[in-house]
Amino acid sequence: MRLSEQTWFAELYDRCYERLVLAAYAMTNDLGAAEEITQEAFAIAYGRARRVSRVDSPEAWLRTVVVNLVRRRYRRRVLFDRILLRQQAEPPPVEEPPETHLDLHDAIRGLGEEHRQVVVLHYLADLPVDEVAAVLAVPVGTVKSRLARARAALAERLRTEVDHV
Amino acid sequence: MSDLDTSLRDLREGLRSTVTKPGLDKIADRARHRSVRRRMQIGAIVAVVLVSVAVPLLRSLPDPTPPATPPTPPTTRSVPYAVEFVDRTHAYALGRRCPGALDPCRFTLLATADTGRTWEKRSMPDGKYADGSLAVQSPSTVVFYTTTTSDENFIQAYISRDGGRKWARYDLAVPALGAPSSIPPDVPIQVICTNGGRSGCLTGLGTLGSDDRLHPVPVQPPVYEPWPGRYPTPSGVYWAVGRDQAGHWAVSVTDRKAAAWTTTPLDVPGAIEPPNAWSVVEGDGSLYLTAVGSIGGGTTKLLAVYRSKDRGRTWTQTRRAQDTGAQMSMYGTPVATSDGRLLVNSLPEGTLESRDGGATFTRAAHQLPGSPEWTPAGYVIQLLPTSYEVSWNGRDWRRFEVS
Repeated sequence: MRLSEQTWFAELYDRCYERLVLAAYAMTNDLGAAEEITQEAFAIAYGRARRVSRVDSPEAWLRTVVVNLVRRRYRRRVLFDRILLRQQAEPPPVEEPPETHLDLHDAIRGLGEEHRQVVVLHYLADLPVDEVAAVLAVPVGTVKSRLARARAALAERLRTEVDHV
Repeated sequence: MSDLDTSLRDLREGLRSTVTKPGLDKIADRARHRSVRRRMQIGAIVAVVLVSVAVPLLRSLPDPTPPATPPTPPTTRSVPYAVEFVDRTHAYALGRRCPGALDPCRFTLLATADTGRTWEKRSMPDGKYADGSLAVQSPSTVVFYTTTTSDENFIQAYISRDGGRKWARYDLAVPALGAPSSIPPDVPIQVICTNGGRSGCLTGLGTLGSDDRLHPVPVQPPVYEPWPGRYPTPSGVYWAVGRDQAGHWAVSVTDRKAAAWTTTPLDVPGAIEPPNAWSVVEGDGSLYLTAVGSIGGGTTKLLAVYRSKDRGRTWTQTRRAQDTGAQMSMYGTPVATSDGRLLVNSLPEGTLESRDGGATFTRAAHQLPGSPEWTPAGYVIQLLPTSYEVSWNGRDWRRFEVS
């Protein structure tokens, strides 16, 4: 990789890594797995740096790779689980945010999968609504209505003021 | 900005602070390893037909691989083993040693015929594996499911019909079904495509026959997408949970003939994630069905407990989780003891016991050392990578080592 590409890649990595981890977290509900998947996505990008540097949005390209990796991993896990009907012996370790956020984090994890994904992608991974819609392959209106219902559910759970989206 | 928005912003920053970002040199190393793995891929990829419910149907091909050579003796004390019991005395143990995150894993297979008192080393198919699991299909038939380092997205299968002495590779392909048959002794039930799976999959239950065909049970349980217990309860009750016609969860039970099922709807709150959600255990004349999932935040909570005193013909709900308030967690399967108690491995409380069929729980005097799993040999708990405890009645536990 040329020096200019290395510099560009390093900047992309610094700028996008945490956001992509949180995007993966939205789909996996497992921060450790999200980190591992995101690192794999960057490794793929590293091997194709020249091509990735020419796309309109390298971050969107990486996000697509993350989504595909999550789906492949989920399919494999479902296949193993269904083949083996295996009972999980111990829960996976969960990386917890600082204690002050445990109630909200707990509340988000308690949402249904559709609502949890939009909350994590929009509020935690900081994606605009139209990009959330692109990641989840649903209409923008669907994202907005899920966000509104999720906010209401969270506010009810936390007994806080609700602002309409 | 509302309090909720402020909290979400703070949570975002808090989560970001917990994210571990390795140095860019680690990403570059990872990229180089990926490149090497891809160049090692030779020949056609074994494609997995991932129908909506993928099923490992096994059809034998001419074996292209040379006979597997016994591996060099492993350092068993440093290798964690996953034990699979066939019946009360026979089991296989698969040991896994993965030197590094990007290096292939090496697997070791051991077999016992005396409930783990002594173990004999068997062979494993040659290859470099990124992952792998063992499924025991009968006392002498084991299947090794794996993904290779050349392509981790595709699952391959190897089967041995002589207890792990010789192996043959199998393509995972659209199944060839055999005639319906009752459930043979010591053979686990598995989910199959009763329509062959060629265009979509109609899920049902069946068993793998010695003819390499999957034989559906004579009558399928009247539930959609059934999730069965692989092995029966001690008195021979087979069970499966799925959605009934009204879309509710329901449990169906039968005996080994599987000629008729008795089905009961269930009321389970929260969100269920099969296949690990359901357990049915038996002790002191009662069956207990438990469901775990998420409710009100957190993970793996005990959502409901049902009890049957007539081998599953009728069920009574003894416990139902509430949407709010503290929830009890459960890891592994519950334990139904021969003296009428129900034990649950919970965190952080430890082992809890119920003397009223699951309605109320208190801390148990004897704490289980880990999460139990119901197997044909009874309840099994893994303590250390090579150390287990087993109990048939939930009260008397014996330790055994895999070595």
